[in-house]
Amino acid sequence: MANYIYRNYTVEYLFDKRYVCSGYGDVTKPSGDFDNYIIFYQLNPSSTPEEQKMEIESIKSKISYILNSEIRERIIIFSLFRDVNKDWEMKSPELLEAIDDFNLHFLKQHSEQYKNVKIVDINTFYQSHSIPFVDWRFFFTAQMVINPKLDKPFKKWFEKQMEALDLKRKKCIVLDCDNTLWGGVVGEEGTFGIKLGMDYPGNCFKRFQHLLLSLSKKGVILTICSKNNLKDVQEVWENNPHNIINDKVLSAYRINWQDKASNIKSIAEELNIGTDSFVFIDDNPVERGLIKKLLPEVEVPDFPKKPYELVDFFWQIYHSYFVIYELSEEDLRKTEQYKENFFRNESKKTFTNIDDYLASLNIEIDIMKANEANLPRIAQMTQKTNQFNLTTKHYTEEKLREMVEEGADIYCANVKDKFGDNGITIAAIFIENDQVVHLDSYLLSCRILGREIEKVTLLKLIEEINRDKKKPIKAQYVPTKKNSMAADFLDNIGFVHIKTDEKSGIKDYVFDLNKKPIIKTFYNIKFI
Amino acid sequence: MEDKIKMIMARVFEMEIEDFPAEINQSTVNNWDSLRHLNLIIELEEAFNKSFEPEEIGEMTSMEKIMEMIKK
Repeated sequence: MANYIYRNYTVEYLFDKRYVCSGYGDVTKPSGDFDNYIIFYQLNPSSTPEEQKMEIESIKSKISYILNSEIRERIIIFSLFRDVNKDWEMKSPELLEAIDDFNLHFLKQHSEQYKNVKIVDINTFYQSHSIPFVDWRFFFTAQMVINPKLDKPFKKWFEKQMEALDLKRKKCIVLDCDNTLWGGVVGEEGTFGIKLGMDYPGNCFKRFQHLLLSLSKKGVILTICSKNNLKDVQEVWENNPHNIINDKVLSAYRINWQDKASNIKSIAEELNIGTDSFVFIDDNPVERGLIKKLLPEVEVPDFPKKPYELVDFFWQIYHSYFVIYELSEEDLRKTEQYKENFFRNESKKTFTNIDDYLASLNIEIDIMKANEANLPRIAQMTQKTNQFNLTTKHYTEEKLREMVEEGADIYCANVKDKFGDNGITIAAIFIENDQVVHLDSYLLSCRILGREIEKVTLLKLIEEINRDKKKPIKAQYVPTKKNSMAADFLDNIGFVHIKTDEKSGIKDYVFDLNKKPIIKTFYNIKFI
Repeated sequence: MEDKIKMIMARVFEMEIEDFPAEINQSTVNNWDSLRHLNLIIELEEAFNKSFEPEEIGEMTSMEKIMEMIKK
């Protein structure tokens, strides 16, 4: 691709080799074929306001001349830099008015008259930069009207503008929920406890949601991929009046504990668009890192640290991935179409029962005894896993090693399915004494929940311990602020509840030895 | 410092470091034209956190002079 630039100042440093520059102020049609003709005229910032007004008139006549030279290819005209500091009068800033007239009327007229003329606004580029637009050293030595230190951001910005003119835009935003669409964690703070509403910081998230909703009306598809209980999020959708990004505006959603890369792939399949048209928005750098690694074609912008930065963040995303020269009817209809598609596919894919679904996943669980290779990971899990954790005891690597030496049975397990390998995500610690075996710790990473893996793994471990030790197995649930999701777990897998300590809420259990644990056959569990 | 400058020159002049002559100046390096000269200055300003005066920029046409101005 070759492009030609009509210019009146030095601009070579702002473009790469695919661009050829005219002589200064030369308006003649170049020989040779070009795909785009760019008209990039700016004003001499050292001139008086009167001189600059004259220069605007001369630029207008140059442009008219070029447009009359029968160029059929695309012509891209730059607006003038809106210099707000070069006027004598406050009441009628003549130069500024002349610049605005050029940008808003003269250019618009011509782009309506000539279908191949497109306008690019230099002011959208400069808006977000803190260094001076002009570096006088380079203006007076090399006729550069734009600070050469802005060259890299300029190239990036101009590339985006060209993509927008070529109608290349991303199609779909994948949103996280907690600390992205609202502040806080809905699983912990509840439908009305999340920060979303009229006060800071809830008002920032509310504005962010409103901007996203308007974006969806411009043809961008909104989806959610969140590690949460679907029910918790649905309660927000139904009952929290401040929440406006819900199943009515989402074209697809995956709210579960699976890894986000598989979820995004499955959203892409449902909507029948490539993952290279996705932008992934998540406050969690780990999730972002995972997507960058597993789906490098997905755009993954950094998420702002403070809620009050969300408005800027939205527009930055818009201008980076979704900016468009002109909206078509088609764009506006798209969201609806995708939504219909989603529901069609969704019903096609419905399994009549959960077992069929789980069987389809080809879940493999590899259980290992603690060893030097996995001890650091087990220690890390005891430190970091707070939600699905029966006793929430934190151990260091050294402490775990000592426990192993004293005879504790420490296990961990690696979980994978057809969507990918989750790595070591389960840990269990059994401590034996004369009469009983205690389940000292049992914990799972949240990302593998929802597939009954927590049940079958513990049952398998109990089977193993039983065969080995032939002693009653006791267990406890120690409630904390965060582990309520594990509250009824032991009851559900065949433990008998003995007592609950009234003060601490600690529940004691013993496993019913007569009960032969039944493990569904589609889980492929082995000790390695 | 010389190596760092050479690396920047290699990038700006689109050359391999090995291909630079022993004495580096505007007349011994073919690709060192006036536009790339400014690119070089801008890259040097960024890399060494300097801001050169126009008179200095005009003089910085050899490795020796460039090092002298950066050290100034």
